[in-house]
Amino acid sequence: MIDRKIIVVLFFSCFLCFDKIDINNTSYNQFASLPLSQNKLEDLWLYVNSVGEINTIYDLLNVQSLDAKDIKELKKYILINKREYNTSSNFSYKTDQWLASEGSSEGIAELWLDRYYDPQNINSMNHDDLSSLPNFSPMDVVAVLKQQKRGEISGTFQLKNSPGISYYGYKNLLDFIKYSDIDNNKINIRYTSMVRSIPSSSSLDEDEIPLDFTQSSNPETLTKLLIGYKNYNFGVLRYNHIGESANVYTDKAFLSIEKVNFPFFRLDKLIIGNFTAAYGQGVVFESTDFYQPRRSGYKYSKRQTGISTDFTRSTQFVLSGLAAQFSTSKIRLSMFLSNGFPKNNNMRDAVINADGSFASLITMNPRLGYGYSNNNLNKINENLINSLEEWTYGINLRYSPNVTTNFGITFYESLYNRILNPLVIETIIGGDGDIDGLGVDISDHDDYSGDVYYLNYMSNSADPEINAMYSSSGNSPIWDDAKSFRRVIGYNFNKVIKNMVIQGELGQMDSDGTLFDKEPKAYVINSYMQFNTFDFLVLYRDYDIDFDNPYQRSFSEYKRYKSSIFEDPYWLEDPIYYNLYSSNAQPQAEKGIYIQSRYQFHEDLVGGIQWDSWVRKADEAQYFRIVGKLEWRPLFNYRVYFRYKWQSRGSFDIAHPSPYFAKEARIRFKLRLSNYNNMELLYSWNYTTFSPRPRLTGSSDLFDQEMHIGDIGTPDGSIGFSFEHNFDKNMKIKTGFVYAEGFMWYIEDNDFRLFDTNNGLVHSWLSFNFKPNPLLAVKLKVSHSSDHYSTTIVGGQLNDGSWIENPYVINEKFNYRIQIDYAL
Amino acid sequence: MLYKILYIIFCSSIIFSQSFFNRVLPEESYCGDAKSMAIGNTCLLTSSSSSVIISNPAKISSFKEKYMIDLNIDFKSLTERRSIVFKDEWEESLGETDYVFNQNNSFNHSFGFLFNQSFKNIKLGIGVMSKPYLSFNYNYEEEVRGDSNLSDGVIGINDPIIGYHTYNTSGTMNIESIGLSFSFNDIMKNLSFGLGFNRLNETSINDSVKLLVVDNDYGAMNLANILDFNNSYLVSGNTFITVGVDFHMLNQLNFSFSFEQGTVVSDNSDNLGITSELMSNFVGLPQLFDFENGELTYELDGFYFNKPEKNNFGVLYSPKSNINMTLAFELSNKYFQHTISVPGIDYEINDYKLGFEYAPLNSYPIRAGLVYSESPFNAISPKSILTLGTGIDFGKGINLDIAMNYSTFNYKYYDILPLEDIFNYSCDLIDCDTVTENNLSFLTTLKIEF
Repeated sequence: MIDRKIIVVLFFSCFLCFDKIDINNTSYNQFASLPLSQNKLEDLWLYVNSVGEINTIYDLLNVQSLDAKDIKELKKYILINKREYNTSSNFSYKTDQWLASEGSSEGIAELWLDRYYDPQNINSMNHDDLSSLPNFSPMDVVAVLKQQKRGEISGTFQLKNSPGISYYGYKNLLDFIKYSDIDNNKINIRYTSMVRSIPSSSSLDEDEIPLDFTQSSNPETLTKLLIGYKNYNFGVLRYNHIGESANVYTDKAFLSIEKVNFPFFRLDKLIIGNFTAAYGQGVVFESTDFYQPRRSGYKYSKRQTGISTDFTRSTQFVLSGLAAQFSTSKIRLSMFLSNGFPKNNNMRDAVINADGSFASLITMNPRLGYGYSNNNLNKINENLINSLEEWTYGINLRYSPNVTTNFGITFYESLYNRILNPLVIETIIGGDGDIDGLGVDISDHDDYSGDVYYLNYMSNSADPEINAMYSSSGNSPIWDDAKSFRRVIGYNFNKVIKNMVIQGELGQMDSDGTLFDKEPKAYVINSYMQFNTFDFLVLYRDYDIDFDNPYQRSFSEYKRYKSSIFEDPYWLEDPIYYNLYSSNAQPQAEKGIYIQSRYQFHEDLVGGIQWDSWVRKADEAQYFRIVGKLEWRPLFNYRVYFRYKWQSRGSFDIAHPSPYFAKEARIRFKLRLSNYNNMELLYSWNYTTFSPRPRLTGSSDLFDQEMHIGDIGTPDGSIGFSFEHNFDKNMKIKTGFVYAEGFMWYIEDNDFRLFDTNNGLVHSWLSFNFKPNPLLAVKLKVSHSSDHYSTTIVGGQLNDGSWIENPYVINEKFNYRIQIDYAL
Repeated sequence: MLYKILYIIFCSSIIFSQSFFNRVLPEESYCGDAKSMAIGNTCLLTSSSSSVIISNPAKISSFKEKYMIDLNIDFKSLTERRSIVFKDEWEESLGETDYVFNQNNSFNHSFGFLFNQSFKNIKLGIGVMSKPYLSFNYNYEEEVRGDSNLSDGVIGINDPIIGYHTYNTSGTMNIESIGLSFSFNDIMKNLSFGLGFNRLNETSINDSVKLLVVDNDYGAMNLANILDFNNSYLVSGNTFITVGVDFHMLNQLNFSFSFEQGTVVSDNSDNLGITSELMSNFVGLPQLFDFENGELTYELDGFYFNKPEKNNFGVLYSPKSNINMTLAFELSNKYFQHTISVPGIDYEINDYKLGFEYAPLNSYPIRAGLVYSESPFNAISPKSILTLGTGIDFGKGINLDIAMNYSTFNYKYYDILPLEDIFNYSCDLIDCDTVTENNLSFLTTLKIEF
């Protein structure tokens, strides 16, 4: 009888226990059922959620509106358990970095986000799936493929024991994989909306000249939505550059099916709509608008090879139509047709000649159809925007005799609905022709005309690249409207030998249908070795000057048309044509060897070097660029980063028309504090010497041969400070300040900034990273730049003809960035 | 060679902050309190003082205690730089140099009182408020220099001051408001409604131009050919109403909507406001001065302003999982009533406002936001305003908030007091001045609830 009573009491006690509210782990709706007034409830809810975990019921006395009577009453209704922290925010440090990616890395960052939110079964990942992952080397890929052959990888134990996998490869892989196909029914939704008035540097190169081309009142906007379920993905995107008219934007949409297994092959991807494609080393084909210097394909410059859905900001080299990729254990077949389906964005921006043919494709940032003023109806024959229709089709076949070896062949053809005729002088370069027929002469100066000085101005020694622009006319059986074409074929391979990989690609233009003839070609070959504390890359490239392939994105130091007349906007029919150089993604024709290495001397000391020596094909100018890096950790929380660069052109040629020599040093001191807070001090000092340009240093008379000064030196210096503070895991604030004199590149939060100032510039910025709930992240950043209230310009002339001395000059800019990300 | 050196001058005055076009399109003062100003000027959603009578009267009864008194003190600093292009021997632009630098600082204040009372199923709120609403102030002063070379032929570095060009417009229109709101405790308990009655007070506007000559040795060299004047106009006030609706959802979302009626403010003269005649065909902005028979004249006579009708919509998100955070987004649509469309004016414009508050208990809140504000003049680009702020709670219902707004923008305009008729030339021909305005304002709000 007693036992029965005890059981009954225990039963009801348990029942009451379950009915009580676990105050540390409850929802507001449950909370609202407590017998308290609305004000007291709100105060209590605020306290529990703001102060943190409740350890005893007497902690509740800290709530101002509660008294002992309330506490006594609450005792009946609440339970106090340990707080179950929800740390599963869908955003992390890594995703923040990827979401902020842009330029040539944007496409692959999107893939990483896909894989992060929808991890893949490691047992069904093939060569392409693995090699696209960040910091995962070809040797690591081979290691996992070998382990797959040994048997199922059912956990980290098997993965860690993959033969030859590196420690960092293994660690980097973990974010993107799972070990079985369970939980494959989750719907993935990603939404991003970004608005910013911060001018972006298209190439993220520290040598780039900062552009002042934009009207920041029309900000850059990006909106994209991706919905994924099982093997299906659907995405839409809308984008416009900063400074574009309201009706100029790029729309993209795609529907894709991935990884469908058939009896003898796997359908890797089938994409309808917008897609990207890239093969080999990027010599033949990679569809992106963005140039990246020293794009070796390793570490942070990985390529997303094969076909992929297009979620990038590219507006010019956009592929739209149908793409498919199939694979077996030995063969991969990838092919595509871009004919504009469904959004007609196979249209290209192009410079149109007076006769209706086109002179060149032009990537513009911003896209201004009628020139810099968007109103130049005299000099621009037709609206540049969407003035050319392009059909492009391509195929890549790869054969893998074993997991360590791949051979591939790539072919593509672009068809255009206008004849390609680069009438450079007539259409692009400004000024009148030679007045007296005597060429460049002293008597008439030819009005200092671009037409006259094209191909013979001494500091524009890369003009032969313009002269080597591709021209074509012809028909195609594939498309009735085609009036010209461009074909490129290439061969690529890679071979992994223990800790080393050798890769290469050869590409050749084809205008006559004959292979292996004398037509222009380009090739890259490289080898990469990887050890735990040491890695080493050596790369050689050689591109013919007339290998004019608009889809080439292989390794180079500079963009095509660097040091040509396209770099001088005042010599062009309209400054918008400066984009032919500044927004060009094609590499310059170079020949040279590049070496890159990193060595960890000790756990506290890491060194790195980049060494490049090359010849520019256009003028046989010799260059070198050497960068040394050192990362030293004298104390656990204290790091010193030192970087020194030497770079030169024409150092070994006393007769070189425009030599320069630059030295750049940069040192950062970083102190890591608790709670991931940190502060950093930056100091940099540079010095560049270059030969005096006649028009800058002497008389306005071009033919006054007397140099008024010798070599010019421009010392640059900057000092900066930045600070990051995490209030908690959901709220972070970053701020920075930098003072610069001369030229400076600077990484401001996630934006790459370039400054060039004569008088000293103060730049400051502030950013908030705010995560109201685990699925939503809001980033807000503002920055302000102001030139010093001074000038080094001695004097100038006003519009009314009068002169002023020591004019007072100030430039001021205020920029912002807002980004909202949602990830389910 | 002639030398003309134009130098920077500083002038400061204790008046309302200013902009050149305030005389034809007066500037509105802050819309809410310091808290809402810091959260991206989201006065529809986050304001909690008496200013809600205008911005969103549905919030009149949203405070906890029975009574609330608030006092707002506002400090504004505006710098205006007018720069001219100068060129090198190649006729290529070298840069822009300032020839006028005006700096104006001003203080303003406003106050109000709110009261709420629950009656069974209805909660009722009543409020009154007084604040400055429209500003017509502008203050321009240009130092004019002559030309002088030394007797030995050496060119003088500092040319002598020969006088000043000054142009001022002044006037502030205050508003007095009364409002009420109600919400139901049972049915529709997530909804509240409010109505505000607002009266713009009569005020006077004063325009003046004065040429101050300090050195008669140089005659009228470089001085504009205009007669001094000082005109005053009595501007009648008017009334308008505001309506607001608040809707709470899922304990974490708050949707708000408010409507602000448009109204006409004028001196009852023939002035019709910004007409086609007043707009410059070349710069696309109002042209306040013109030349007649070789003499510079002032074009404005009287005053007329059609205060825009406003529709505001906002969403406030305070996640249940993270209640110390608040995210606010507001869209404010302004429509200027008109009978004839004047080219260059956009009669329907929007302000986009985004802000947040991070307010951990027992710590200082952090508030920030950004406003993207379109201009009714097509020739002036939209401006972006950064907002920041924080606050302190002294306990017992006493609360102090502080906010900061910063913006900078520029536009092209003529020299406003030129020596010769330049008003019939486009900026491509005469290289107009670049006018750069930097606005920095602070607002402090003290609230007492009891």
